[in-house]
Amino acid sequence: MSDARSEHSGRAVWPWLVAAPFAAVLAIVLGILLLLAGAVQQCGSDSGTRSADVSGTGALGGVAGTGITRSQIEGVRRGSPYAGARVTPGEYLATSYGPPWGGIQGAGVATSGGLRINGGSPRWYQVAVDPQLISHGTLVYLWPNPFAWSGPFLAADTGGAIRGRRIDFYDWRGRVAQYRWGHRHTTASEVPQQPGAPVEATSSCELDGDASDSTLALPGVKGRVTIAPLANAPGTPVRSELLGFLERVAGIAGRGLVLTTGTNHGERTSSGRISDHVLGLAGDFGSVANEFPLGGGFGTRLAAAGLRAAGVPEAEAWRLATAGGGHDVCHDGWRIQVIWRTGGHFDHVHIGLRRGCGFAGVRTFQI
Amino acid sequence: MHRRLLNPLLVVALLVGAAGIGPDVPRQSDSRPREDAHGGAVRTASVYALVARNRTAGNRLTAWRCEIALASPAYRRELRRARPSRADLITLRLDHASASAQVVGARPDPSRTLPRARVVVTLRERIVTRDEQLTSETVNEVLLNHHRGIWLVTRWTLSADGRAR
Repeated sequence: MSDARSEHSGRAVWPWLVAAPFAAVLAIVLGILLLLAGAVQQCGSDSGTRSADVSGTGALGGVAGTGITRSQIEGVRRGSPYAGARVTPGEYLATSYGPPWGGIQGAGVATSGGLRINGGSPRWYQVAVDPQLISHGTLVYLWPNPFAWSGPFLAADTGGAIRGRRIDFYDWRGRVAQYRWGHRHTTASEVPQQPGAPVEATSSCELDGDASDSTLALPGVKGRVTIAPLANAPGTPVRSELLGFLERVAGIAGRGLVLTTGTNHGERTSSGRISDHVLGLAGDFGSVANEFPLGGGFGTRLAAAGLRAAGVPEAEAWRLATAGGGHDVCHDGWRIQVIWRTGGHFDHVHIGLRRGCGFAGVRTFQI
Repeated sequence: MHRRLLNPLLVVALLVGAAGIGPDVPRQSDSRPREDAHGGAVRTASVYALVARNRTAGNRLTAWRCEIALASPAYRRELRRARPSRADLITLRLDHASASAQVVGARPDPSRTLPRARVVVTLRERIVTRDEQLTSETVNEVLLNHHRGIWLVTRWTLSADGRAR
């Protein structure tokens, strides 16, 4: 009986000894998760309800899921001649506008509130309003709307026909989506009209700049690429394969691009190899023409879009673009190269192609 | 002058045509005046929905005038400010754009009483441009006001769920 008990107690102890380290690791992981949850809760508590929820249905990231960064909103609030805090609630007759640009839609360069569009189709929730009723820089809840989006829209544009109780929804999805909405009534309010709608955060927990703007358009959307004067050497244009790829990059980045250096480039790279530029298969996108700060801002988004167009998953594309470096990707029989934030590539993003490759994954290098 | 005559005639024709629309429309009976009222609201709402959602570059202006004819004074003022411009029509033409809709169902809200009515109109819509086409069903909400013996539209939008299927 005593033998049996001792055997039984021996069996009971050794599994515990084995499990103890695993339990300790599990406890540490749970502790970290609880701490992270606490931090998130703290961010949310500043604004009362759900703060800057960018994961809800239709949320585009940025401030309160609008797809617009804090700095862009601050730019409208500081720079628009129609900026203020006025929101006249009630019924409005709403239409929609957006790309493809041209004609009645305008050139799509920028909104009158100062948001840069550059002929592209950035995905954000923005409306044109009559500033006498709704001031620029305000976040307005409009329901119903063409996106079934319960969060706010940034008032940041005006229009010749948008007078009085009229609103024009910016719809980046194109003409069919715009015709689908047609003209309908919508109710404007300063406060959410749907339960659980995202609200603007009042704390600094929100990410800004590159990270908050971290939603790329789906591959397949094409954007506009403008070739700057003198970008190419006389009589040597860039090749159509490159332009086709760059249009996809512009679509994914959600903004028109200005190619500042095409074939008008030195013959050899810093490592002594023949440059993709002289073959008409590389383009540089300068920070001034494309309006991004040195080593950051839209430059990172553009690099991420280049990697995304080369088939790199979105999260990985953002990680690589943020980390910086030269990245070679083999995609559809092309070696695609994106260089950003390494060597002399802080003031421009380089995107180059070369036919033929035989490697898998992404090869990263530093200059 | 000819055009001014044409539009009311078109509205009347649409009203007559819409008389048979809507499987959910309650059957009318002389002994039930309240349902008569709802029937009238449903017809007007259906006609309005068709006018608002059937459009080409060729009929856009006529449709806009018909919408005005069916709208309440306040909504009429809003619509006048939203007159399709020449550039709008050119864009429609260049896009080879057209929208066509059929009424799938029209259901009055029984909780609304005279002189107001709310009708939910379900449309099967087809939107075509040069590059794309889209077929979908939309659930629309039409609010109406009974004014001097006729129903006039005061509000036109997507219904509360706000989604097109």
